[in-house]
Amino acid sequence: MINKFLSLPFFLLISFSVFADHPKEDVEKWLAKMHHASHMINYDGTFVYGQNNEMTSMQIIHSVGKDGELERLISLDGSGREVIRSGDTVTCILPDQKSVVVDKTRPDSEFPPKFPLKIEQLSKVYDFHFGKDSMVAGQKAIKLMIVPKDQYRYGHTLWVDMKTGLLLKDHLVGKNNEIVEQFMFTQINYPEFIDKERLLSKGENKKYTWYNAKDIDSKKDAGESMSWKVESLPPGFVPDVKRHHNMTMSDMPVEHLMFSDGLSSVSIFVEKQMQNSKNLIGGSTMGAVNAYGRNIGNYHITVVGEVPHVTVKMVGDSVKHVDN
Amino acid sequence: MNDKTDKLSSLMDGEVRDQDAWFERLAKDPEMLQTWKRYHIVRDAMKGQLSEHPKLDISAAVSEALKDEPVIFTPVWKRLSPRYLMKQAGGLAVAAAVGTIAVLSLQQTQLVSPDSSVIAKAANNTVTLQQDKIRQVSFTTREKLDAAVEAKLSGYLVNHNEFSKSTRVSGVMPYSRIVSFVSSSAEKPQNDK
Repeated sequence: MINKFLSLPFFLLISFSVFADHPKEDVEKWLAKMHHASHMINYDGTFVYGQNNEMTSMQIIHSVGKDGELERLISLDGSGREVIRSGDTVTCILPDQKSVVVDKTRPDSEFPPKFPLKIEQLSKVYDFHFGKDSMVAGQKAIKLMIVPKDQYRYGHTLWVDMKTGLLLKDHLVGKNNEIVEQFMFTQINYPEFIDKERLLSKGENKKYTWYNAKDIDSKKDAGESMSWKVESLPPGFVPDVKRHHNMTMSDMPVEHLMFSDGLSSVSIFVEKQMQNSKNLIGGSTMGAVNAYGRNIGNYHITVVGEVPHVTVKMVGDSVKHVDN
Repeated sequence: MNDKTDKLSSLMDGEVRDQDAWFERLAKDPEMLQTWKRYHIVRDAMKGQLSEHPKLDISAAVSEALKDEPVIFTPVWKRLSPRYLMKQAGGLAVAAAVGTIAVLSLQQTQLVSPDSSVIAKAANNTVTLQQDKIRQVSFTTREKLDAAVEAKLSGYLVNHNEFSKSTRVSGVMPYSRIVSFVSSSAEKPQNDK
């Protein structure tokens, strides 16, 4: 009897700690903490990444100093591909193609970066719920579910390291609750210091063919030269980027327009069609990323985004050339 | 030519008003296009953007960059299969047709999407006819599925990632897409979503 009596409060205590609920107002706090951690702390870990029933393991080393971030992402199985991000440069090392592709990041990006999301805006198109706290990669993590209110974007289930704020696990969820894409850290360290050597590629890159991004000129391009408009966008999507860009893969400058709801974004790339130029017609998919291409007169447009097929198609079909 | 080269440098600096017209001229004039490309490489070299890679032989880079060989990120991208598009098209799904298309799309991962009207027609015909039509579609459109297209898509994706403010909300995901799935996913047939 005494036993029973004693165990009741004890049981209540346990259930409180297991189901510890986070108040709704904490959503923005956790998203901001997550954003801050991904840029502003050192981490070194191994994770698995999966889409279409395939898994692959990768290592990420992220270091931050007063000059900015340095990051190296390495595929641990298969090709040994690497992506190194340093300052405003992204270098993709593709041993399987014996090539290296160097591209530039957005020129106006600031360091440390500002938290880009506004919870009031996001709440118009997503619902937020906290789930049960659990362990990921040996760390206590809070679980945050982001559920879209319509079919035009994917949901997220996020597991965020309670202590550091790093995103440890993410499920991208489709409209039938299927997992479209996911990653999960299996091991993570937060070292105070990371040897620069570890952020350099060990491969024999100098023997590879190098492709360099030729130019980014985003300041001068807005305005009159932009002669494209998008007539149908899902609710909540607003213009983000407009620029002309010379891309490694394209002969002609590419016009790039981007729209975002804060969590999901869609890019539209417009290229002048060259003789023999080959372009995507119709849909293509890769995990959560969808692309849709079509011709408009002498131009070809490609819509790319981490959104469902229905969204890239809707946006792509509504692009119009505006005669000045 | 001097007039052209002057114009090209203004164009590069974004100082030309009728940009579109000049890009059109560029497209038609291979010589000018080559000059345009060379300008960019020279400018990058001057800005020191190439010297970030001290081991890189610039002359080699110039000649390589002028080659039209695309870098192939493949096989990252997968074509949307007819079955997937049928799901998207909603009411079109006729049980018999689904079976046929499912088998076909399993056999050919890189099946190309015929538009839904083709599927609608196919679905209304007999099973044999459906097979013929779909095979025909996949055969003809498959030729268009070019390595250059896939390379371009992946290039777009890198740009999309870099310019998207929301990239970091997805943690390590955006670049995992570039790093993952080499060869194995192309060799093996896989189920379509």
